[in-house]
This record gives sequence, structure tokens and C-alpha cells, in this order.
Amino acid sequence: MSNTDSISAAGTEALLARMSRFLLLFAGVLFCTLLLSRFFFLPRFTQVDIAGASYEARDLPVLRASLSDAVQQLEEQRDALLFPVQYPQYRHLVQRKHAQADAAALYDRIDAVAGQFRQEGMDAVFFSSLRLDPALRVLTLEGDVRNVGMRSMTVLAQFLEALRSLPFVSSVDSPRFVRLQDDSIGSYSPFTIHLTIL
Amino acid sequence: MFVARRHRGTFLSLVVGIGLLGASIALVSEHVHAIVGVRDTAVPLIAQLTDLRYRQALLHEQVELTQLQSALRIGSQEEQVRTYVLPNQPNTDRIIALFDVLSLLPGQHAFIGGLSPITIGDAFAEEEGVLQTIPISVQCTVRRDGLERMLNFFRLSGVLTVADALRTDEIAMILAQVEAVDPAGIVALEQFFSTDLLEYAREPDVHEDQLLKGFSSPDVLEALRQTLQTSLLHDARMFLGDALGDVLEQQGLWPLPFLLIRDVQIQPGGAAEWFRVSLTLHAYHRSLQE
Repeated sequence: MSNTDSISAAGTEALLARMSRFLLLFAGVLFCTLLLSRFFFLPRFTQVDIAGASYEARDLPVLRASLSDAVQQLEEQRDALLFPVQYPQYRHLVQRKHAQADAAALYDRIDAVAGQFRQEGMDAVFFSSLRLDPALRVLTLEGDVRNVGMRSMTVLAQFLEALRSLPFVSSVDSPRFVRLQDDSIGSYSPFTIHLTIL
Repeated sequence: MFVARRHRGTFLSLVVGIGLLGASIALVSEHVHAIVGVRDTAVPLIAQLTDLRYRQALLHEQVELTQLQSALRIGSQEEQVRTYVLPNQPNTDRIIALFDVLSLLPGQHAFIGGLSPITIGDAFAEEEGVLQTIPISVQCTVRRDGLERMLNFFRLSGVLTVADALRTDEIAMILAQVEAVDPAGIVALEQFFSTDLLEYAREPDVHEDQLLKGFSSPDVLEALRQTLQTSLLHDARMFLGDALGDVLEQQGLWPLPFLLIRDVQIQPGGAAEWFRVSLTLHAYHRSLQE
């Protein structure tokens, strides 16, 4: 090894030694600072005050869940106190009663729709039966369209469209369209319509 | 030897320095995550948590008030339900008596023109065997206004208190208003809700005034007035508030047995504005095992 090489190697070693000391010092100071920040400063930034109490930000979702449960329990407790009768089967039957469709109100609404097709003071849509299953909310209408001459099927189709447009009707099963002849009432179109009520 | 020790010292400084640098990077990352977490999670939650804390305190107060009020309540409506509304054996005699009352209402109060024989079927289990149901079929002729009155009567049968006459959404709407602006009004509401329905229907003004006095907020008053006008309470006032209510009380038929309309068929009657109505009702009673 020449003198120049050994001087160069010694210089590199000295540089490396100096750099390693500097790295150790820098990393040590940085680590200590961050460690201090982690335990003394960071909690101050991540803590929130809610109604006079301090919480860690990371605990908030758990706190929300437990508060929501507590609020729900209190609501149930309050509602239970508001209903004097707590017998569960009675409560369930009352709910079923409230969920039932009102046949008289439905009759009035559908009769009003049928009235729209009255021509020259004569009814066009006649009902022979209105049957309601209040629990299933299915209404079955039976009757016929008459007093409109050969247009009975057209008027029946218009009546169906008017029923479909009612806000409380969710679906209407179309009847079979047919025009029949009767000696006493002339041309007529009988119908059986099933309505599902909202 | 000195050189070797110096080399080891340099190597050790490098390794420890790099290690501390790595740990510092991890700590910086933790800082960043914590601050981003506060921004993304905590800030939106703070508003919700403040609301929840407020609601919790409010509900706690309401529960305490209603507990006090319910402790003062006289007579057990629960017992009335078990004795008259859902008795532990079929109460067909009371049900037949009801049809008698409906068909024999005097003069202007009458709305049933004629009544067919009443058919009573065999009992079957419902509500997981806790309740028994008896189907009852009957046909009657009614005037147009009587149709509504008769069906409303069956909608009211078995409904014992004011609270039971209100739908869940109607109660929720009132409670939301009360909670928002007039939480202490829960006492007046609790009193009103526990009022016997017949008692309310016969003297609605007394009970409604007492209820409305418990509130000062126009929003709550409006919500209450609207509910009183549009709910089943309106039908109860119209229907039980007249002669029928008197007859039911005189004949000891209140509280009414629980009847649910299972099927209703409306057909034109013999004359204009008259209908023939076929009804299938389900009458409930508790199973003996219950």
C-alpha cells in the first residue's frame, strides 16, 4: 500500500467516524424531541372537550356508540312509561290495527274516481262489490262500465288509469277487457280489479 | 487495537443513528396519523356527541318526570286489558251484546238497518300460541255515513287509552316537537296519553285543555292540535262521544273486546245510499296457558 493510499483511507475513516457521530447526535435529538412531543404535546392536540369532559380523539367512535345505546335505552324507557299498557301481545295487536287500511275511506276515494266518468247525469262505472283485506291491503273491485254505448272498454281503460294515478295505490292488476250486450243495460264491460294499497 | 475499537465505535454510532432515525420516522408518522385522525374523525363526531349528550340529559330528565307521574296513576289499565280487552277465555257474550247495542241505537244515532245472524267460528292460536282468535262473520245493511261509523267502531274496539289510539309516527312527531322545544311538557303528555279513551271522547275539551296548558311553544301546540284533528282520536270523539258512549258505559261494555277486521265486503244495498256490508272479524283472547 502506498503512502497516498493509506492517507486516503485514514481520511475516509475519519470522515465516516465524524458523519456517524453527527448522525447519532441528530437522530438522538430528533428522537428525543419526537418522543417528548408524543407524550406531552400530541395528546393536547388530539384531546377534545365535550360537555366539560376531555376525551382522546381515537376514543370518540366508541363513545358515540355507547352514548347512542344509552340514548336509545332512555327513549325506550320513556316510551314505555308513556304507554300505560305494556302487555306485549296487546301492543302488537294495536300496531296491527293501526296498520290496517280503512275500507270506508277507500270506498269514498274510489267512488269519487268513478264519479269522474259520469256522463249526462248518468253513472258509467258501477260497483257490485268492493272487498278489502285490511291486513294484506288488497282491494278487489267488481262491477261494470255501462251507459257509454260502444265505448265501455275505452272508459274502463280510462278508469284503470285513474285508479293507477291515485297516491295510495301501489299496483293495479288489469282486468280482461271485453264488451258484452245485455237487453236491459245495453253494451257493458264487466271488470274485476285487484288494487294493492300502500 | 485502537483502530479496531475506533472502527467498532463508528459502526455502532451508524447503526444506532440509523435505528433512531427509523424510530423518529415512525413517530412522525404517528403524529401525522393522529392529526389526520382528529381532522377526519373527531371533528365531525364532536357535533354529534354534543347532541347525544344533550339528548341523554333531556331524556334522563323526561324519564324521571314520567316515572314520578306514572307512580301517581290510579287504577291499573294493564289489568283492564287482561280482564276485558284480552280476557283469558272467549268473551262471545260481550261481543254479541256489542252487536245488539249497535243495531238497537235509538233514533238519529242508529246507523245499522238490519243485521244477519252472527256466525262464530272455532278458535285458533295466534301470536305464537299466546293468543286465541275466534272468527266472527256478520252481514248488515248500513247507510253511507253509517258505513264509516261502523268500521270506525271496529277500529276503536280494544283501544283502551288515548296513547293506543295514536299511530307510532303520530307519537314520534309529538315527542320530537316536545323534546326539541318543551321537554318538561312530557308530564302533561303522559297524563293525556294515559287517559281512558271513552273518558276522553265524552269530555274532550277538558282533557285537551289540560294537555295544551302544559305547553307554551306554538310549534308543539300546532303539532298537538293537528294530531287531535287527524288521528283516530277524532273518530273516537265523533263516535264514542255521543249516545253510543253512554250506552256502552251503562251496559258495562267498556272497555271493548279486541276485534280486528279481517275481511270487509261492501255491496250496493236495496236502496240508494244503502250498503250491504259483509264483515269477518277476529276476536282475541289469551290462551289459558298464558
